[in-house]
This record gives sequence, structure tokens and C-alpha cells, in this order.
Amino acid sequence: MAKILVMVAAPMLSAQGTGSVDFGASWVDYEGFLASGAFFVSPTLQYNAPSVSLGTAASYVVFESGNRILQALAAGAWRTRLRDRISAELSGSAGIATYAVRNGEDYPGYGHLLGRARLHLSGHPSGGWLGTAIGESYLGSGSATPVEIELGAWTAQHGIAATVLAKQTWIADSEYLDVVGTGQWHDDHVELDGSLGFRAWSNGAGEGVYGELNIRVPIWKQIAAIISGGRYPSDPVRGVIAANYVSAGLRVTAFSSPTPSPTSELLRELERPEPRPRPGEARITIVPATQGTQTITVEAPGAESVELTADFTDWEPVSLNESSGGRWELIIRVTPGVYRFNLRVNGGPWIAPIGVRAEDGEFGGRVGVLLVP
Amino acid sequence: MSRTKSRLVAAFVLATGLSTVASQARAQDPRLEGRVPEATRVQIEAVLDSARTRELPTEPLVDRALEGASKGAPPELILSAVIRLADEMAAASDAMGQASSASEVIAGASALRAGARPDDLAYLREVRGDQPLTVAAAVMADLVAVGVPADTAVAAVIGASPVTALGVRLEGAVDALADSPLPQRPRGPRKP
Repeated sequence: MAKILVMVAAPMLSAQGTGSVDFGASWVDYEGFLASGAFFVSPTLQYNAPSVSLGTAASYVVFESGNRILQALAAGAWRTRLRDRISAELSGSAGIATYAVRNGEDYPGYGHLLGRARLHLSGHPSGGWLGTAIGESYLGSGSATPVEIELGAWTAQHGIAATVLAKQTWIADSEYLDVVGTGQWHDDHVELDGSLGFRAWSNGAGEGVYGELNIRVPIWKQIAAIISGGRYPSDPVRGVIAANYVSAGLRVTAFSSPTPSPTSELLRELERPEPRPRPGEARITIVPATQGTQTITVEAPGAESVELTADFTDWEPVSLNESSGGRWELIIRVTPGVYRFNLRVNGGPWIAPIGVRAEDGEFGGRVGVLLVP
Repeated sequence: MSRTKSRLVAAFVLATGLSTVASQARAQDPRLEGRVPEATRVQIEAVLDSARTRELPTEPLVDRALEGASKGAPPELILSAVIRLADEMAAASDAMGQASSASEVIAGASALRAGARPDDLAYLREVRGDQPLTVAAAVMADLVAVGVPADTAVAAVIGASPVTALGVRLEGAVDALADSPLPQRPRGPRKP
């Protein structure tokens, strides 16, 4: 049971910490500026657990002209299930962006603080969410209060995950509506994700179609090639102007491993070899035999007799046969299901053996719970 | 007292209020004869009838009575244990859907006993659809029993589904649209 448990639980129990650095070259054509080449370095730290995500990232870009962009962002999200299919998510982000030119001309920096709340409706294999955000965007000494509302839906089928999102934003004198679709797909050799959107309506924030395609190809161990390109829209909340771009570079993942957490501690505990039964104790395993029967094996060192009583014996004691030193066996017809049982060694007390979950029985003592898969 | 429990207790009182003539007209489980006192057997048969009406499996109820009998438990303790299990199976069946198999209902009841909530079972059914839940519910029960919070246990069991795992990754994509948590995808340089 412990092995089954580990196999099933392992994918989700581990909280994941990841640190990576992207670097490479870009060609970028900002609206209202001349196109330019650039080099970029972007370190990222992330921590993801089932209900909490934390992260921080920075990006340093140097253009052909020597002008530079420095951006930094920190974000966190917390999720909890309210009931059945409904969960809530609270998140927040804070970012800064500065643009410095080589001749020393001073541009005011951008900054933003944003708090967000979402209500998720999860389904199988689709779902949706409703969200709102409010915060403050800064430009130099001035500021504005952005407000967003969003409605989204997602589906995950045939190995492809897709979303569609409609988001209305108000900030200062501007307001605009974005409708964006995204898709993700990956196999062992490549990861693809892309987006296609349009600014359906805008007052002071531009209009038009935009989209990006990102490709990640693992090369060797912790190194992957990253290629991306497309067009992204202006983002007055975060202080970003629209641009067309193509980027190519490498992602070096410095570390990506389970981070110690209560659940990963549990995982280690589960993976630890089960203790050998001592004299007077017993350990039980059950494996399918033939034609609907199961072989129940009890390891009971030093035993002279082993008996089992269970739901599937109508709680009548049944003796096991000794098969080899300290091992006792019973072949019995049991249909798949969950059963309660007890063992008795050498005519002693009825016990719940090692190797299965035990619970307090209503009739005193402990009772083992056996899963027959 | 839950509505389910009220119904079961009402059915039990009604049935025991009727004479043994009525109970003898129903199918009886011969395994109980001679194992529990006759008066208790009649009361247990009433619980079994109520369970049949609700399309709950009766085999585990008989098993529980036999377990009590084999351990020499007092008759009233045997009866209360049987009623409690019927309540748990009714709650599991309500949560996982009336079409759930007997083994699913039993595993669900075991999970509730371990500390899972009916909402957890309902969510499991919602996510897993028509797939069998017996092993998933049993594993969830094991996780909860060793101290894993119910939410995490459900996530762990659901995480075994490739489709749902995609859904989990998808949350990252959804969040990336709003910068939270941080996007992992490579992006072009954003110019302020």
C-alpha cells in the first residue's frame, strides 16, 4: 500500500523550487522607436506548492545604442478550495521598470502594485474563473489607480491546454478590453506555448491584434534553448509599450528540486523502508493470484501459528499455512474493495499488522484496513 | 443531526416499531442468525432494509455486525456501529453520486472515517468523472490518516490524472497573464 501511495502521491506532494537564468539576444521594434538589437539577462526564482506560489524575476536589457532597461517583479498567489468545484485565489504583484539612456538623460521610472482576487470553477476537463484586480501604477512622482475585471475559461484535452480570457482595464483616462487565447503543448523534446489576442476596444491604449509564440527545447541536462517572437500590446498598468520582437537564447536552470516542506517530509517518510516485524508482530501483503483469488502473505518471525479474521471471512478465524521461514500464506477469493481485518499470532491478541492503515475499531483495539485493488 | 442520519434513524425506529412479522417478510441475512442476539438481529435487519431502500451496499453492514459479534461486543454497541457505518456510506453515496459502485461507496465511507470530508469525495467524483474511485478514495483515506490535510490528499490523488495535471499546469499559464505567479515563458524585452 505504501508503494501505491507513494506512486500516486508523488506528483503532487512535492513543493517545487526553481531557479533559472535566461540570456540571449533580441531584435525588437518598439512602437514609435527605431528597431534595435539587444542583449538580455533574466534571472527567475519560483516556489510552487499546491496552494501557494511565490516568485521573483528581473530582466536587464542592453540595446545596441547602450541604452538599458532594468525590470524587476515579485509576485505571490494563494489558493484554497471553498467547496466542491469552487476555489478562491488571492494574489499580488509588485514591479518596477526603468529606462536609462547612455547620454545620461533621465527618464522617470515605472512601478506598480496590484492585488487580485479570483473565483475558480473547476471541472473535468474544463473550467473557468472570474477575477478582479486593483492597485496603483506609478510614473515618476505621479500615480494612477488601475482596475481590472476578467472572465476566463480553460480546457485541457488531448495533451493541449487552452485558455480564453476577456479583460477590461481602467487606468487614469484610458480604458481598454483585451480578448486573449492561449495554448500550451509539450512532449519530451519540446514545449510550445502561444497566445493570440486583440484589443477589442480601447480609449487611449491602442488597438489591434497581437500574439506570441514561445518554444523551449531541452538541450543538455539543465540547459534549454528558448526562442520566442511576436507582438505584444501596450500595458499602461505595468508601463510597457507595444512592440514586435524576436528573441533567442538559453535557459540555464540552476536548481529545480523538491523544496523541504511538510508534505515532502511525509513523502520521505513513506519512501522509508518499512520496519521488519519483530517476534509477536506481523506484516501483511496481498497480491492477486489466479482466477479472482488473492494471495495473502504474512511475515511473522518466530510464529507457530497465524490466523486471520476479516470482512471476507465473515469474521471467522482462518489459519494461514507456513510457506517458508517466518512466512505464512493464504489463498482466498476476495473481490476488489476495502476490507477490515485482524491478525493473531500464536493465539495472542488480535492485532492490526504492519503494512496497512489501521484505525480504532468500535469494538476495542485496532483494526487493519486492506485495499484489494 | 444530518438529514441522512435523520432518515436512517427514522427508518430504524419505524422498522423496529413494527413487529417482527414485518421484518420476517423481508430478506434476512442468515449469517447473522446465531451470531448476534435475536432482538439485535431484528434491529440490524431494519437498518439493512433502510440501506437497501437507499441502494446502499448491505454486505459491509453485515460484516460490521459479524465483527462485533466475533469480538464479543455488547449488542447495543454492535447496533450503533452498524448504524454509524450506514450513515457513513449514505454520506459517501450522496457525495460521490447514487450511481457509485458498492466498492466505491465502501471506500468512500472508509475515507470519511479517516477524516476526509464529503466535499472531498464529491470533488474526486467531479474530477475523475466515470473512472472508478475505489483505489483513489482508499489512497486518499491513507493519506488523511497519516496526517496529510484533506485538501492536499485530494490534490495528490487527482494529480495522478494526466488530464488534471495539465489543468494544474494551466493555472500557471492563467496566472502568467497577470504576472502572478511569474511567467516562465521567454518573453521579449518590455520597454517602459
